Amino acid sequence: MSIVCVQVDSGEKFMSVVIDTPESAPYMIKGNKVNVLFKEMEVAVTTQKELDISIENRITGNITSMEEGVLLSRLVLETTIGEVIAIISTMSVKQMGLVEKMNVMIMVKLNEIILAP
Amino acid sequence: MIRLNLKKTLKSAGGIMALDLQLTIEKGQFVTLFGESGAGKTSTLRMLSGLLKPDSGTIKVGETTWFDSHKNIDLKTQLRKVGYVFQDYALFPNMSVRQNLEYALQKNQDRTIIGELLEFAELGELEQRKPETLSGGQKQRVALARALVQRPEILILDEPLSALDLKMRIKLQEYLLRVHKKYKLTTILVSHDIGEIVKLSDCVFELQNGRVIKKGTAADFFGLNKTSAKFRFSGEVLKIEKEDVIYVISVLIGNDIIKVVSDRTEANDLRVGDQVLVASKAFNPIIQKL
Repeated sequence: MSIVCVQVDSGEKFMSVVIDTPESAPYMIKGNKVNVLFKEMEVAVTTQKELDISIENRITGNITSMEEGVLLSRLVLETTIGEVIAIISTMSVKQMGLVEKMNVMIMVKLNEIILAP
Repeated sequence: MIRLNLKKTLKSAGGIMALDLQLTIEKGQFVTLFGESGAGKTSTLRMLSGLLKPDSGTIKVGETTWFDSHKNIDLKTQLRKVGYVFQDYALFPNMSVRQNLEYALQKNQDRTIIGELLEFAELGELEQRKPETLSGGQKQRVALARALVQRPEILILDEPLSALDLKMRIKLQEYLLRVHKKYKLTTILVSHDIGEIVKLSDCVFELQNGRVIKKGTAADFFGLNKTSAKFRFSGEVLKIEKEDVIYVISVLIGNDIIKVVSDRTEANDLRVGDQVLVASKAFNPIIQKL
């Protein structure tokens, strides 16, 4: 098992835990290029920037558009790493008062990050 | 090593196709020809086995030339060491299992091979039965055993398992691998089943309009090595349903249907019938004893 730190083009850092090691996966070499994948459903959104919480990957961004469904809502966010889609409950959207153009922080746990060499 | 360099104008329902194919297969490999119907897969195999004559080109197997249009060499089908297994078994209905195998014996060939193959294929108890009394899986085991009677160096499997149900297919896939190893064959498979191809083959060649357009190891070919995700399967899209702001994609994996939630960015690229890779991290699934 390894925890891999990936610096993306914009300079942001992502942490991922994988069951591979540099011995089992030849792509795991420092400096090697990988893609970072995560699922829209695994993106959490917060309006508080200084949360004491065990979620390692955090990026700030602006909500550029929002599609509210009955149960779930789809948020498109403009961040330093590019466009990120977050699918969260409409309940949370309402409770947090999320609206377009709002500045928020998105968070993804390190076990949700897939590396694609 | 098998080296094919073939040119052949083929007429089919879709019109005329000019097959122009260069293919090299290492000795002892298990390779798959992949591609749409009418791409030239079966024609290529028929030319290799001598059932169809190329317009021009060469076929070399090891140091021997089987076909050379310039030198007028065209080795007879019977002299090419090829075993051919078809999807529809092609057994003789009026002969017993044993007689079907014996029919394939060459003049003066040692008959002990028949007993050995019947035993290896677990057909001993069925040897006096006629094909019509056998199940699909049993028939295909007979067809395979018969293809091995002349001790071929090359085994051609043209969609051998596509008429069988999944359980029998999985059993026979393992059997094919055992045959391939035991008889040190070079095996060429035609299949559309990605799970089967990945399980069996060392190397995959994709044919389109009579040409090889892509090749690679099975896992690389289908992109299975493209992520660190360990919980991964290949399957076929059965259904795409929009629900609220998300899409639910039903995927057939083996004989199980699983559902994957997807955003429209991915769902818009998918069509029913598409072959897909489904992957998640090894950290996510729960596991419970049944």
